[in-house]
Amino acid sequence: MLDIKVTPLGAGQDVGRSCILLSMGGKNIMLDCGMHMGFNDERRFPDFSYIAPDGPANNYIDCVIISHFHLDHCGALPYFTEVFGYSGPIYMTHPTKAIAPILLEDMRKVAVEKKGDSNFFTSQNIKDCMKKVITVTLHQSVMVDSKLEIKAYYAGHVLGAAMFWIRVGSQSVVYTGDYNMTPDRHLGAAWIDKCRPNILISESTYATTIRDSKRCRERDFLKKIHECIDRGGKVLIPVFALGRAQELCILLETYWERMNLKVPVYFGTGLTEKANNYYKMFITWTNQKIRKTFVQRNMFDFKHIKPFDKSYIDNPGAMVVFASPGMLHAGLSLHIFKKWAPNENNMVIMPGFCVVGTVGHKILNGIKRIEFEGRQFVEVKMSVQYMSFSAHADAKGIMQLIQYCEPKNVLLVHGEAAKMEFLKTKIEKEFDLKCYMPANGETCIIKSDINIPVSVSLRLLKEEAKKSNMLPPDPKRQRIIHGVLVSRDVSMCLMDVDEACKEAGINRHTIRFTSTLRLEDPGPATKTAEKLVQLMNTRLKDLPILFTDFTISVESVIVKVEASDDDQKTVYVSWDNQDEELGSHILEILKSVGN
Amino acid sequence: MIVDGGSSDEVVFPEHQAVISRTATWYRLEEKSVVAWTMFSWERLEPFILVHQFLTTVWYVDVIGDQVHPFMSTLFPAGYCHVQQDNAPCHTAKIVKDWFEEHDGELEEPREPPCKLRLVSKLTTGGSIGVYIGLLEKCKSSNEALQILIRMSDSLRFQEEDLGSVVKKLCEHFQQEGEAAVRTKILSLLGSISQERGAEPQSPATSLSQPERRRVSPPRGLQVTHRKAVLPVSLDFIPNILDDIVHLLKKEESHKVIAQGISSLLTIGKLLSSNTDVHQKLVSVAKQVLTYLLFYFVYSVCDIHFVSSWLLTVHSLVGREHGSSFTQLEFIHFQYLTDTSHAVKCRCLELLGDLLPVSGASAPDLATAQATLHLIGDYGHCDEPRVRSAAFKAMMTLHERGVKLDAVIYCEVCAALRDDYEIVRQEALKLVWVLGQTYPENIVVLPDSKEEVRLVDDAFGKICNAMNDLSMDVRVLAAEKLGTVTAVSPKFLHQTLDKKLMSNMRKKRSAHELSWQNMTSGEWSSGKKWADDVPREMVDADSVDLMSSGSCGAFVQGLEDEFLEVRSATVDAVCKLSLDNPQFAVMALDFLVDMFNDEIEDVRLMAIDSLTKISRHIELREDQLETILGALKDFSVMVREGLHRMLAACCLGSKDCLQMCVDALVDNLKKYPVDRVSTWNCLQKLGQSHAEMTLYLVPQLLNIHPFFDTPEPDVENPASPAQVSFCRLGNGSRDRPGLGLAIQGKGCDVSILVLVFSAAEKCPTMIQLFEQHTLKHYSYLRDTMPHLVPHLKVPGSSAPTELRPQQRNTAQFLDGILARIECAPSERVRRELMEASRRDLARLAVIDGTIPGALRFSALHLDSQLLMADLLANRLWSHPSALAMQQGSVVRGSITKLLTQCLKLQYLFVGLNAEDLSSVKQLKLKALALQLVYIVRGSNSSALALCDHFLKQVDDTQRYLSESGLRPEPFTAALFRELGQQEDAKPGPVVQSLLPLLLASTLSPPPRANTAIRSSSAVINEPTGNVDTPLKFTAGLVVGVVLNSELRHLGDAGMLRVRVCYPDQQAHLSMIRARDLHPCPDDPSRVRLLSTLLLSHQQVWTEACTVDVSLGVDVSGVERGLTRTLGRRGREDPWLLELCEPVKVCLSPKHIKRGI
Repeated sequence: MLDIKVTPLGAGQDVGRSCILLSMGGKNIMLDCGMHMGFNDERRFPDFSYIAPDGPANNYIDCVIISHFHLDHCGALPYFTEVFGYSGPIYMTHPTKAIAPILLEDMRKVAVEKKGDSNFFTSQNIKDCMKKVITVTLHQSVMVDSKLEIKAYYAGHVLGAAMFWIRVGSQSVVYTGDYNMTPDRHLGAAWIDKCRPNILISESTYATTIRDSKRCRERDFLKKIHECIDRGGKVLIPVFALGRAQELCILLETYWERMNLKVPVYFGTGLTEKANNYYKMFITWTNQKIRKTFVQRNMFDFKHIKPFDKSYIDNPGAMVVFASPGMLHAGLSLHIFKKWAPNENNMVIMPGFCVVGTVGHKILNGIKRIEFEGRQFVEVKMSVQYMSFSAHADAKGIMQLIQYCEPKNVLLVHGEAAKMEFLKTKIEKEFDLKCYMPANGETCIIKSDINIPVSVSLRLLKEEAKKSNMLPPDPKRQRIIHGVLVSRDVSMCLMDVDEACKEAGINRHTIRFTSTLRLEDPGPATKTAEKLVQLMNTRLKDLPILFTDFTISVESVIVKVEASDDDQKTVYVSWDNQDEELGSHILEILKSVGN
Repeated sequence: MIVDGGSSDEVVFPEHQAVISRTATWYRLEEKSVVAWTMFSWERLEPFILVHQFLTTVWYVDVIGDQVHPFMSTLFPAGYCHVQQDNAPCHTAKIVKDWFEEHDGELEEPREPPCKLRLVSKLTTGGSIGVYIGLLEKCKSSNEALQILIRMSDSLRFQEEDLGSVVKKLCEHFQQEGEAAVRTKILSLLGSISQERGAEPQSPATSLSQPERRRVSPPRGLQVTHRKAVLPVSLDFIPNILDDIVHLLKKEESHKVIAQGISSLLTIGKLLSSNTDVHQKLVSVAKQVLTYLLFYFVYSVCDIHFVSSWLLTVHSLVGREHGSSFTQLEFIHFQYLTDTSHAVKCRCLELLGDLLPVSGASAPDLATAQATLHLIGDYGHCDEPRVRSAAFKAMMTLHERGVKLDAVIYCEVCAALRDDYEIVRQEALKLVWVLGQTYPENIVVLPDSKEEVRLVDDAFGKICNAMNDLSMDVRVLAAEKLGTVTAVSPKFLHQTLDKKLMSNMRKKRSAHELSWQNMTSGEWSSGKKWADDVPREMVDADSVDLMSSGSCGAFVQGLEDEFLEVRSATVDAVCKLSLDNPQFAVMALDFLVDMFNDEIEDVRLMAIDSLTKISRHIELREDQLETILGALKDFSVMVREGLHRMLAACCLGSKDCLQMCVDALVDNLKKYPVDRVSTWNCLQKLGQSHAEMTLYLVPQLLNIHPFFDTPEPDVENPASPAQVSFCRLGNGSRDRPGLGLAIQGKGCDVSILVLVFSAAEKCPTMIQLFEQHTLKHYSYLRDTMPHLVPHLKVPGSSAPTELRPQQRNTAQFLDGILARIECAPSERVRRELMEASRRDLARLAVIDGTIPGALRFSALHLDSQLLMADLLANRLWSHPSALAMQQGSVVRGSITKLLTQCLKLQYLFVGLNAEDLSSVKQLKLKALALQLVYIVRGSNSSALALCDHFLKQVDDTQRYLSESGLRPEPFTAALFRELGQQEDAKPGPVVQSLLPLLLASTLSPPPRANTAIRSSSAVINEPTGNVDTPLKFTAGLVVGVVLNSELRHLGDAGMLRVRVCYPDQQAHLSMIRARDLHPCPDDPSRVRLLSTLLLSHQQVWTEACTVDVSLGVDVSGVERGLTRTLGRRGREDPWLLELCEPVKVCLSPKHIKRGI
């Protein structure tokens, strides 16, 4: 019950098919439900049979949280809900809900229609799945049920990407999804408050990298394009339709605006246009500049960027074209590439990583002659540039996030094992935190302290506040509340003694302990008492000691000296059971005198 | 233009859809209001129609008939509409009703129009608090009382006699009041009352120094009568108020009320303490009262033993010598600091910070101060963040007031930097900074490594860490503070720009380092290879510190921040730190250059300006220059000109750099011909500072072949850049068309010549290289642009001997002329002299560039005098019979011209001394007198306003003369005398007495030459006046035209107007927004105006027509009486003093496509 268990089904020491099971305080939560783009068999989906060997997962999972719309974070969702069977709540942000189905549908088409995959979810499945989604906005605290609470924070990675804070009882976990700590042209930086969760589950894609300023790369990118169009060349930028594409568009758009350039910029239509509409709508999710200026002009209402038509390929003169897919393996971008590659005035800029085997990978490695099917050769004379625009936090960013939210433990996912290892040692060394990096299917059990909430009566608190406010604050001084712990049904309550007695209908009894000592001290009893007072004054410095005739009282402890016949004096020490410690301490002192 | 709230809105409802028509009153030019009418609906926007008359019923019917009705019937052909209106008089007039009757069924007016919403008008009677007090007594509910109190504080105005009773009544009410909010308000009112009273008796100088005094003082009359008598009384009263407040607080239980009470005490206390020098005695009275009160207060209320121990200490202090000022106040704090409410605690801490005595240097004073400081420090650990923040703030205030903070607290404050709350972090950050500045050399031991560092370095690291803070405000603050820590060691400073890059555990070079390396290794072309930024050597995993790296990369982080506030603060900080640290400047250069690519223009500009500032420390490399020059293509003029300034100031690394720079500038000029002047300036400076480098480049630049004569390029080549620049070179080229053409033909850019000639001054050997035509160009350019082309010693002296301006001579000449006029033997001679010198001076002002302002001023002054003399001589102006005839208009025109010239003398020149100004004022007075006489005698229009204005001017001039201690001229002296005897201020009698004076008046000599005088002028760079290409826009809409102009020696920017003259002889004036004016960073007398001018075709013409745009100074605001009487006429508006010639813009409205 008290331990928090985390089991990655995907993304454990790995990138792709993020799916992490979290169980805490009797609740089971699935964080992301992604697919692996590298596999075509059953390995592309997380192993859901781990949750329930053969049947719907309804009884085992309380809610599913999707951090953003990338397919390695949401790709398996329709399969999980419709094929495997899950009908509980699914949470995501508004932009994610808007854009995810477009991507899912696109992927489904590619998988089913192009590759002929049969064991796949259908269009209807996606629709049905999306109906189950509940949307959340940033910083909105959502109660999934009476015990489970979630809250989204801005993550910056793509439009609508969020980090989630999940709380059950007094335990909480933050799941970051993918995030970016440096702002870019269209999104801001990730932000979280000091929520001090028990565990921070963080991505660690760039665990061993500290990145250079983004400005250099942007400047290079713009300079290269500008030079190319100045000499009348055509620029091809193969991009994936969502995310980076919008960033680059904004970058070019502002540059065109700033430099007052007239060269046309085109955007391969299709998916992108639809997505751009969503970008226009979710302005609140973008960065400061776009948010502040959208009243005058929505930055995504591109003035210079127009939709592309295939007939434009052979147009004379300079132009810039964004076309998908990003790795030049098929589609429009490859088509354009074939046409433009033989001219040395032209340029292609690869803004991201390319998988081995794709045309993009080949040209990046400097291959000058590329063979296509049907013995078709293309001479690559155009200049080939690589420009990485990545939206993940680097090592410094990850550390910064840890510093921001001050977790008790850190758990790394979504990265390579070797790189994680480095970051893990760093976190342990610099923050003195425990850090975990479970592999897929490996359960990580994290112990957490037991917190038992106790309600305190207002009167007690106020009294204490009054007392402590009398003195200037001092962090070293203990602040003590004196009361009775009353247990009612399930909850517990700290009450004033008298109050508790009254409520319980019990008369208050006090127990006093009394002890008698004999002291050998000649002289009148008052003298002895005075001696004792002096002694106690030296030994008990901070306590007020009252002295009348023969009685010394310290708090509830009473010391009485009685004279008997000879030099023997009888000393009564009596104390309340609440002051047991003080009483016995004084008794010890007195005893030491006797000896 | 300022749009006043619309005066009237009507809504027309055609079945579920709303059309709103709106008449709005536009306040334009403060005075004149313009009525406009428009209609809009979901479907369509109708044009904005200006109405050149007041809203009358007739006009309203016209609008309904001509605009609304057709609009409705085209938009909603089948619609059946209701008009809802607001019962304004013109809506309910009979003819309007008749119209609706007539068009019954098309537009229907509702039978019972809804009533206009009425707001309860405020009580305005008397305006004295005394009235409200009466109301306060009568009011029944707390809510009502609160309303009255709010009104009282809004109109804080009362008679001195009332004060006592007001305060008394307020106190009484306080005790009866059950509602805490009302009690709070009463206390705040008491605070502000005393502030009002206390501040007023001071001399104006001291009251200015009190920024916290916001309220307007009572009307002048009141102030004058009270100024002497009230002074001691009102301050005497303050202790009573203090007394009252303390008394009231005694039984108070609400935390809010106590907090307000203390802050009222604080305001009063501040008032008293700031007055110590002036009102020593009063303060000591206040002190005694306070002492007594507070003792009473503390004894009766507190039984806390530690307070009494404090009491004893202070008792002894007070017994000895009146106590230190306001030590007593502290008791309040000890009493109330123990309050549980954070608000009360915060106020107390604030009070302590502001009022704790620090001035006395006596030991006990300081000891108390230190003890209190310690106590305040304890509150830095309070569990309430607001209290923590207030405690740090109080420490800060005390530090500023002279109590030295102890370096011991440094550790504690640093701990507070990790606070959960940003308000605390902010204050702690300030404290860390202060400590760093105060004790830079103290040694701090680092906790983990036992390493010792200087305190300032450690503080610097701590502030750098705050650059990663969660809250933007803290980051901005951190960046601001970083810029001022100049004492930091270079080691730490340099780290701020180093992020220690790595990639997959390998050390990586940043792009900047890469380019540097490429540069030094001679292999200068990168980006062609895939992965040329591959990481190099492996990094030892243990040696990498990710978090606690102190200042590492702080600025890199700040420059990349999401918020522009942080970015600009960081740019500023980097710039400030670079100023004293050349090495850091070199490192920062790359980062600042990167900022040229920021998405916000302000940040880009800031980066450029910063670079200009640090330019003396840096030498630009080619790769850096390339990036900088890339930014030259920017569309924004400000950015380009900033870059020109920057390039002019910087130092280039090699001759290739210079070549690149020149090429880029010339290219840029081709693209943006507007930048002509600033590009030439830039090239001139470049040539001066890089003479040697230019020498190497001369052959390339001037196209000189070592052996062959290069062929002459085609003379008519239109692509030649020189052509563009030469067309605009100015009128000079008209004088010598042949030479101008020759230069054009050579294709040799003026820009390059400017560069080469500037360099040749420093490097005379260069002259030998010049070809014959270059030398010809030299003499031509030297003649036309002497400020850009220096004097060269050209061999063979084929160049004509040139006129060298001799400054001393011109001034002497002017002096001589003026002296001669002054001591002319007779009136006739003087007149002749003046006529002659007017011409001379006017011509000299054109050809001599040294003191054109003074020359122009004198010429204009003489001209006005002569004009006046002419007018006075023909006597027409005083004969009504003559005025009725043809000459009447001539006379009127001359008088107006005279007045305009006087206004020009007064408002279009800056740097006038008292003598000049008094002379101008007297001249104007004379002109005004003439005008008044003319209006009264020669026309039938009312002269009341004019007379009033005239008398005001007389009053003003008299005051000015007596203040500056100058003797009035004979005419003015006589005028003062006459008007002093005059009792009636009606135009008739005034004119009666003016007439003989005017007739007797003589010419007065112009004031002595003052070379400090500068004349205001403007040059409109854009629009360029090119009317060949009309601006096309949709009829009925407006078109924006960029207005780019440079103003020199502008007096008051608030009077600057843009005038647009339309072809229908109408002229519109518009004000300039303050944010469109950008003072030139290196020359404060020059102001750049960048704005968008909105032009429309007014729906009056449909062809392409030209519109005149000009800049002028509008005096109708300051010379109100004149404008009101004489009115203003569109194009020949005498009250708009033109600063430049109008520029033409060609507008061509396109037809609206109907039926969208």
